[in-house]
Amino acid sequence: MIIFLKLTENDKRLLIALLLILILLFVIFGYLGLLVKKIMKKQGDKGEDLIHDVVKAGVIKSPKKLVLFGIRKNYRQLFKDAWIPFCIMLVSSLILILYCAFSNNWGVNVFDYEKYGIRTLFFVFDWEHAPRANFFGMELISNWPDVLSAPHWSNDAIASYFFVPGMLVGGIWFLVCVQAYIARTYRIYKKSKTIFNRSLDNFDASDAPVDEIKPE
Amino acid sequence: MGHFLKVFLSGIIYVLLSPVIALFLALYAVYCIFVFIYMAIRNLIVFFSGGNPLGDLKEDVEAKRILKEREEALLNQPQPQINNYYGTISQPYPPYNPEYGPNPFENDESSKLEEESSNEEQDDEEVNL
Repeated sequence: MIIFLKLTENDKRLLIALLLILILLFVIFGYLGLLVKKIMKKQGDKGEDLIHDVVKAGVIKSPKKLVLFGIRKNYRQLFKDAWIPFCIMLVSSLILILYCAFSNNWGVNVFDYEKYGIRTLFFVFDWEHAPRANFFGMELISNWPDVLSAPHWSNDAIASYFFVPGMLVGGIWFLVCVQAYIARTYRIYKKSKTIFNRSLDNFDASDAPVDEIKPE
Repeated sequence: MGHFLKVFLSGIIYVLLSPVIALFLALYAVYCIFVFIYMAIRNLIVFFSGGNPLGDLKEDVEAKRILKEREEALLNQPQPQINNYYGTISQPYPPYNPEYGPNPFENDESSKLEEESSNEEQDDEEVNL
């Protein structure tokens, strides 16, 4: 309590601002989670589509066989979805390997900011030596640090200009394909547990046909 | 307010579980890389042996055949015959069935008038022909 009494108006405002930022962060993560759930639900529909015909035709009648069949179909679907991002990543890697082979420089740092890396195209700040101030016993950054490198084109970094965006795009695309694979697998597994169950939940005995009374 | 609290609490859970989720995704990504490589090799072998690498599985072929047969059976079903004789002006209702007892309309004047008018129409048709 004594600590809170010693707070100045500025400190209190800073605390409230930090709390609001924290709440906002959690709310953003919450909505992101809802979005991912919604997307995965839609991706799971494809899993149902894969097993629809065999279930409707009665070719597969047991949950275990359905899961095994679903896994085989899912492998094929993963291949169909993921071959493009795989090719992008492969081509990006080939470009870097060819550059290293032709320039005879196998120690290329693709994140370098002086000559060979992608960071030559961005502002690079000296965060290690940024001005700091004491705040509640913690040393926090209090001002913008010095600029180590401004954006500039470097011919030696051309391989990094292809490699890093290619791996980034291909990698994120592949992760989306992996997410879809997980969604389909989960849906197939969930459906295999329910579609072969013969449930009496909605059965009403009074609707059943009445037996004819036969003369004795 | 309830929805906001729900989203806020689920956000806290997602932040706390994010390392586990990231690890799960990373492990699945590695597994999928192996699956992709296996499928690529398998498809190349099938392709060079003359097959269709992304063709239907035998269960799919069987299922399509069964569904097609069912569809054809439905289309070839004989259509139920609809008797359009009743409902016309000359025959507003079916003839009386004597199994139900004496005809209550036998001595009815309106039915006699209708019979006469229908007989006149038949005579007119014969003249026109």
